[in-house]
Amino acid sequence: MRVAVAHNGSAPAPSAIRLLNVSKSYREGERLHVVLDAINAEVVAGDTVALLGSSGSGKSTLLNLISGIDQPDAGAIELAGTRLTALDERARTLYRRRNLGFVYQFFNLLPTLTVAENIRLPLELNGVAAVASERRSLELLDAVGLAARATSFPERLSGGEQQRVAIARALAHAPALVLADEPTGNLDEETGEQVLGVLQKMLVEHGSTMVLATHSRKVAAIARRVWRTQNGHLIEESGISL
Amino acid sequence: MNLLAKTSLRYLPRHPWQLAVALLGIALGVAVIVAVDLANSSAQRAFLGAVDAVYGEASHQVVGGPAGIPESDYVRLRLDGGVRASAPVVEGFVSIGERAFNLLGVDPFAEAGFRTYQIGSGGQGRAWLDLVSRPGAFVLDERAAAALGLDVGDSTEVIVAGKKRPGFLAATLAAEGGRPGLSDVVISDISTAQEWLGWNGRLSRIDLRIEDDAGVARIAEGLPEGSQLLSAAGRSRQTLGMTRSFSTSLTAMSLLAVLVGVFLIYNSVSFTVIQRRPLLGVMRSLGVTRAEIAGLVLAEALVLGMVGVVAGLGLGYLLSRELLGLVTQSINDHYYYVGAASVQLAPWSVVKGIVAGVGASLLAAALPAWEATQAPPRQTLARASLEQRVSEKLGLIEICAIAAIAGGILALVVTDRSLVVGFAGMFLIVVGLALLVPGFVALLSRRLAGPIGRLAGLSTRMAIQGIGRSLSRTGVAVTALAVAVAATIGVDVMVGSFRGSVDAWLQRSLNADMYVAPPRLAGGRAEREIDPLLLRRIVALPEVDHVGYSRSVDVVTSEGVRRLLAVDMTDEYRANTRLTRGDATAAWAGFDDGSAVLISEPLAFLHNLDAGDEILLPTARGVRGFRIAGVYEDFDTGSGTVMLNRDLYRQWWQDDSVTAIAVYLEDPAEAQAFEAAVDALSAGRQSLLVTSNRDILKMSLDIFDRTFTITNVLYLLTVAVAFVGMVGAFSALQMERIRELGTLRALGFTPWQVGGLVNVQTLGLGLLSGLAALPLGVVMAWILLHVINRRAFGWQIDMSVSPSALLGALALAVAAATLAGIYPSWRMARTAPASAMREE
Ligand SMILES: Nc1ncnc2c1ncn2[C@@H]1O[C@H](COP(=O)(O)OP(=O)(O)O)[C@@H](O)[C@H]1O
Ligand SMILES: [Mg+2]
Repeated sequence: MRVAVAHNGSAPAPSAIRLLNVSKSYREGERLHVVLDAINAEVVAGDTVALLGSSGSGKSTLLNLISGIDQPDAGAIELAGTRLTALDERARTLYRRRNLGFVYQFFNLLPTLTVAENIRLPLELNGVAAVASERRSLELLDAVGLAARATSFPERLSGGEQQRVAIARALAHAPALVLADEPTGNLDEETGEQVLGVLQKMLVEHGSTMVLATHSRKVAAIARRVWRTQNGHLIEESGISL
Repeated sequence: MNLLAKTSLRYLPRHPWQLAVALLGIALGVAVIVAVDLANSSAQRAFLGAVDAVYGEASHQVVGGPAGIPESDYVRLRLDGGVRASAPVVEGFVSIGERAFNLLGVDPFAEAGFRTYQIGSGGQGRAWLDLVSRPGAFVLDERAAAALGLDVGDSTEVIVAGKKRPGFLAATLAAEGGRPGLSDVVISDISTAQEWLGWNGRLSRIDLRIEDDAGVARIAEGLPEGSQLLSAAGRSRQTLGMTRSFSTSLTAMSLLAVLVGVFLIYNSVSFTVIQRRPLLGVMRSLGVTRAEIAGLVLAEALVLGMVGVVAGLGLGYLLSRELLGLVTQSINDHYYYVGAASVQLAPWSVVKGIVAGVGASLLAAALPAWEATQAPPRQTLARASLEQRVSEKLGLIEICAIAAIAGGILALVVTDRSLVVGFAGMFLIVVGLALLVPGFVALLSRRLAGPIGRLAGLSTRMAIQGIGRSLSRTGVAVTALAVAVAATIGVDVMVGSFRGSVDAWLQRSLNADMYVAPPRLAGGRAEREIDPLLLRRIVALPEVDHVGYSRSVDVVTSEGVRRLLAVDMTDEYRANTRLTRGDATAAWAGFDDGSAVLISEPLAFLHNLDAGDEILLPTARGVRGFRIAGVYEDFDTGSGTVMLNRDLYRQWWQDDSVTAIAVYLEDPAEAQAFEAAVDALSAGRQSLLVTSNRDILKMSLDIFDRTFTITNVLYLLTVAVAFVGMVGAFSALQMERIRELGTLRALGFTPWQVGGLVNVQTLGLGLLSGLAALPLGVVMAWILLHVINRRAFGWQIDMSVSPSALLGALALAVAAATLAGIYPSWRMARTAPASAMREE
């Protein structure tokens, strides 16, 4: 496994994400559908960025590339100085296991594990001992307000509750980077706000970097920076093209 | 326990339907494989045991012609030849009560070093003395004696060649520690056997132990004309060889069972993985590596496989006991009397079952797991991409299929005798055609969806289209069903065609009105001659118009046992004997003037003989070549028959006896009067069976049907296995759609309508795979008839496909599909839409 090499830049804050000419397209029959067109961007550690764009504009595609569960056609992606696109499949997986947390629109909790066990899974994958992971999962459940549901199975929980568990799972192993894809997309507005509150609180506590994809300007507002996805490009909300 | 393991440990109990189908699938698959194997190997062992018990430790045997060996030859061999290690044997068949036994007449004082007997409790020392000194004394296995209710010292009647003889049980053989094969043997002193069989002064064979080649050569040199020296190993191999083609055809059936069993295991286990594809995707995105997922899935399959195997072994053992009865029945009917064998737990059979069960489970889990982890995790999360990948793969599968078929055809074309290659070819062709089934079903469902949709509405159209789209999950089940249904067609058509050919052949061959012969014993051989005086009187009866005599006898050659059929050819017989090779006029001329013989079709095919060739036969004047004038149609199960003119037989074998008379009556209505007259003549002299041609036809067809009972049982099992797989896979598919169906309910579909959709889809799947099975089945039947049976037995059978076999097969597929739809549609009707939609 490759060890993450610290980025040797002169900037005061090290960069958490660097996208270098990243392109991705899908073939649709004869036609080539370009989703991301040579994108360049950088996110500093501890920052929060919202990807704002209509459905189909490529937000999920970009998140999947950053997390390494999909590969770009061209260009490179660096996470905290590690060139993800140069790693092989196994090394990417292990990198993801250690450094990344995920929150999905459809929660994607494992139905056969209890709520607490779902949270313990990333800890266990990272070699945390059972007793410690048990304690940590209860702390996290407490923090997302679900201490009472530790031994329930996910299907017994409401959507908002499931998403709070998913947030706790995403942050359990204190990843450097959290990726959230439409985390409120499947929730009513009030529950959505609650969940965002929890997410924000947890991020502050852990000091993680976050990239959040949403089509809602209101949701995007929780992020410090907002990037619009449009026609294969990224545009900083301030109007500056990246 | 680690959490990853927990995810899978908890998964299956939460999906009890899938778990049950998977376990049942593995258990049934293993059971079929083990049962057939156990039955087969136990029958072989019983057979070998029986042969062994009778042959003992002899290294060589001296055998004579039909009339045996004069006793004086034995004396000369022992005294002049100086061969001390020799034992004379008179062999035959007897019955006591309802049971048949091999009769072994021996000289107790010469037996040492050949056969060992453990005398049971009672009459130890006296046993041998009694055997030699008391007329009718015999020795019997302890259990056989108990079964007959005989105690040592009891007198009883022994039936030999239809005549009742007084017998006396001098001792019993210990069941424990004795030779297993002796349980179906009656042992007597040689003089008793000679008297019973009417073989005074003659021996069946002389067993020898010769250590060196020089000895062999010297003895062979000194043998009188008409006797031959054969190695005992060679003879038991020959005897075993007779049943080899029979057990090979059983093996073929068991291969089919293995194929379907493995399909079933594959199907049920792979489904449990395929359904979890999205979950595997989530795990991958959490950072679980491919290797970890593979380990997880394989461990699960291993546990599943082992539980299924344990159940399957138990089931297989029970099943094998039923099968063994059928197998030994057939061996008793056609080859050699082995009595009732018991199932011996052969480690090999068990190992085969375990390997097939666990191996197929592992493979079944590994392939979809590999597929799921090969795709980037992002794609695994999307269900639709799986169908796309599967349809992309169809092209590749079709190429493999065509390659397999081409390979199979090539294998069949380049060889024309090898049975093993025949099987390999058939296997390749069947697998190749089976691989085409999913593509065929997909194509048909796409083509049919439009027209049917216009007729029956959008939702029906959806259901039909869904068939093609579900193939990633149902492809294997559909294929397995198609293969099993095809197998029913194949076996049905094969047995039907065969029965038709045999029936027609028997009708032709049985052209006389009545047949008179001594009763035939189990083992299908040892025909005894008709008392000459009796013979003359029967022929002189007023009801008789004319007769045909025949003498049938087995002769031993170095290449196997040949049956000689010496006949006085009647015009009727001649007209009804179909020559398949050789010029008919010339052939009959040669037959009539005794310059040539005719051979049976199986003998010609299996030994590559043709009209114009020579065949070597041991005569009373030494081994001599006979010219073959032609080949005639025949369906015997041994290694072949040579038909010759009785004058020619008399000339070379110096034997004038007759074993059967074909009687043509003045008036066929006088059959009963004739029978009564023969009974009156033979009473007290010899028991003779008088049978009408219709009765013989019926008896022969009964034996035929009995022989194919095992085939039927096996193919029913195969169908049952496929049936379970089909029901399991289809209902699991529908259970998976429960969420989608819940949405339809929410949209306003009634439970009945949703149930209807489920049933339309499963029915469609059943019907389409049934349709795919039709050509596959006909091809299978053709190969079974013209390649497998031809190469195994030499039979030439015309294929006839009855529409009922095809319709029956279609009905079977549809019935399986109907059953498969019941549970899910019932579930759907009971589930509230909201909770259906919540379910994963
Ligand atoms: N596996 C795929 N195959 C083909 N096209 C895809 C695939 N995944 C995404 N797309 C296309 O890429 C575009 C961007 O998709 P996505 O990133 O999911 O958008 P967003 O998340 O912004 O709604 C869409 O037009 C979508 O159809
Ligand atoms: Mg998206």
